Amino acid sequence: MAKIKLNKINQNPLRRPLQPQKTAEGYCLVDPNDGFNLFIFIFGLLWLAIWCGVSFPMFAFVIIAFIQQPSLETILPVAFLSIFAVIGVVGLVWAGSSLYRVYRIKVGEVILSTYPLYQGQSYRIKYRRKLRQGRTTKPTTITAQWVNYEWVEYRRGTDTVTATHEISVIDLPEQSIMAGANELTYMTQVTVPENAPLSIYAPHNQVRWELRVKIQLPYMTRDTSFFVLQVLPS
Amino acid sequence: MIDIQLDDQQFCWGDTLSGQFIWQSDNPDKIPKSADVLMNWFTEGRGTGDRQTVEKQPLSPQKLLDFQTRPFPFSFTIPREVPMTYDGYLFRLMWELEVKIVFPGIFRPQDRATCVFQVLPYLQRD
Repeated sequence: MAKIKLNKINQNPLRRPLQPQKTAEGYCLVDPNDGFNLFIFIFGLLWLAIWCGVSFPMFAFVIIAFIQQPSLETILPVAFLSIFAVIGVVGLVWAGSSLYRVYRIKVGEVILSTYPLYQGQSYRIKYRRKLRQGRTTKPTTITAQWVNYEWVEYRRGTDTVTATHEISVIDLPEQSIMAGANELTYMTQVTVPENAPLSIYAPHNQVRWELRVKIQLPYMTRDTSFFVLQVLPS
Repeated sequence: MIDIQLDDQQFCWGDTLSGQFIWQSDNPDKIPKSADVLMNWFTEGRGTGDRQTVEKQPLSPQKLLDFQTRPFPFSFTIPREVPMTYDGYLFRLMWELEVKIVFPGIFRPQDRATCVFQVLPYLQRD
């Protein structure tokens, strides 16, 4: 048992996960995190603009100076500014790949025949992810995990820290996707054990049941969708 | 001093939690300003503590005075879809029944007692 530490008590109701929408196919739950946060993107863009706007011209200037007059005096600035240039390049590649992923593929969604889930029951789940543009160029595989874990949040000084502890991790069967597909579909079955811990969604202390579906599309994207599902007693 | 007695220690959703408490005032001249019986759940552990009062029954101070040193009954229904008692690695979630009697004064002196019980998915009877 973890050492008990009494922190500030918050009078808050339960913080429930997103509820699925009832559709003709069943209960549809969309991955709430599409990996694209507008505020973070704008902040990152501004940061990159300033960083690259300053470091790249300076790096180019010292490179020209080194080429014109190679010496120890001119190589040291090159070595120093190369670090900043590399960071700028890495940032641009990261921003570009994030945008490319959003451009090429939509967020994932799962479809369940019934919701919420109950102890001791098995459920067939369909995962679906559509491509916005084009089709897959190479065969790929989709993997998934059915994870039960504890999640807590607390303050450490001025920082908000989270900690997790996995209670159980079940690797689900892989599924192959052929080239030429414009939609990734993954069918699987998850079982909630009879004595499984039930979902708890307090604001700072949670027991979560999560379906994690990982896709790796060559030359396109590598991404994981997370779906938190509610488990109730049978 | 407040002594709480519950008819049972384990409950499921929809069960009736009943019991009684006996209040013995250490000062007969102290008249309560307000009194409540509360059903709470709370967490302890590494995470920031969460707490929620699920149900609350206010008590009449006059009636409480009439019942002094005699058992005062109470009854709650465990609602559906409330979190279950849980004892895990990073935190635990517990349920308690709380009796709180507040007296007049600047610092709101109070008598308070709690009694822990469990809310389980199914009952384990011996």
